[in-house]
Amino acid sequence: MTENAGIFLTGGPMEANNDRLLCAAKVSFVGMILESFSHELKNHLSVIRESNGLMHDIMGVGKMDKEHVGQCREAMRSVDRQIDKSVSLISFFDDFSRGMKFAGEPCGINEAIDILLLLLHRRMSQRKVTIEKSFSNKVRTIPCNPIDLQFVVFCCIEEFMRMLGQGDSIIVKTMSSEEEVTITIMAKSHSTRPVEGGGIFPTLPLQRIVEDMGATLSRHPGHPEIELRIRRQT
Amino acid sequence: MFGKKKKDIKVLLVDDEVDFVNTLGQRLKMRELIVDAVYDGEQALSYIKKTEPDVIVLDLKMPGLYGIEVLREIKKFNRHIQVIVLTGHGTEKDEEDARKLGGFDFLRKPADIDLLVAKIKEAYSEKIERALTAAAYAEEGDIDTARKIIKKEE
Repeated sequence: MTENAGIFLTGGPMEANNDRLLCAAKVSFVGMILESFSHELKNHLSVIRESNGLMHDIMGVGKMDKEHVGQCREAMRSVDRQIDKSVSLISFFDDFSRGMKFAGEPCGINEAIDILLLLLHRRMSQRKVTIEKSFSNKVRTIPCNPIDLQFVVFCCIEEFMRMLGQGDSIIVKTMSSEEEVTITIMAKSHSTRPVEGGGIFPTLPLQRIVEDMGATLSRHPGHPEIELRIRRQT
Repeated sequence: MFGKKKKDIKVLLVDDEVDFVNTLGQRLKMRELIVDAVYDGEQALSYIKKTEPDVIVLDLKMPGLYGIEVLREIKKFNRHIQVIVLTGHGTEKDEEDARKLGGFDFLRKPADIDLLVAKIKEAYSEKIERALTAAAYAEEGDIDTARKIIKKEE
């Protein structure tokens, strides 16, 4: 395994510049989550409005026949579905926000990654890329800032997203040992596109955040696989 | 009754939100429009190769091709088809791009149904008017002008 390759540049003499870069990248990450969240919510509200409008339309026709009653029932079910989807999305967003608010508290690794993946769902489906999760239930909480963790995992996913297309997938795995928690992010592609470094923030000094987390980041040269190892004692 | 044929406006809805498409589709049908639906850009492009809708109501953020790219391809394939963008996501840049590419209008979700229907009818009228004017020029032998009208050139 080679450490500090690709997107994981070290700080060096341009420290102040690196700080600014990191800060901008984090804001961009949160902005992307916010955009995705508001877009989904707007979609749910649009369906609710159309369903409500359809019921008005049907009532406006006058006497309802069997077909109209069926349409109204379906419209009501559709409203319920959208409300359920919104409630679930808001809960995930709530958990994500809480991670930012209480950054110093122990972090549930699986939960933090799960929230991230759910909030990234729209972005992934837009590229027709699927995500597979394989979380070990032995991974418990660990002293680690959830937003930093989510940000690093996001950067790794983004790096792979650049080379993936329809039908490809990203696999996120968590494993646990006495000493550390390992998060592996792998890309599974049907095509033969080369695996390169880069990602959404190609010059980002990600290594600094990784070190703050008491972690290491490494990749298999030539393989679309990145490993993040977080020590249990920091 | 014979001789009183209502105008059949064929509308294609392109949106990946199935519930939204189904409900909006029913509402448009209740307003005497002929409605069909597909759920992403690629499906829309395959659809127009087989059938010509009068108006397409197009979302932007969908799996696969982005709506603006879909609009570009639609217009490349058949400039007669009118396209109304209906999106929950659109930026000013998207709106500008859509209009440059010949999009008829740009609406934001959730849109008022009466406004959407009015826009669909306007788009259809413009399409028919342009076709009739072009046909009149063509009949007089002025093929260049007829072509310009169809291509919406000055």
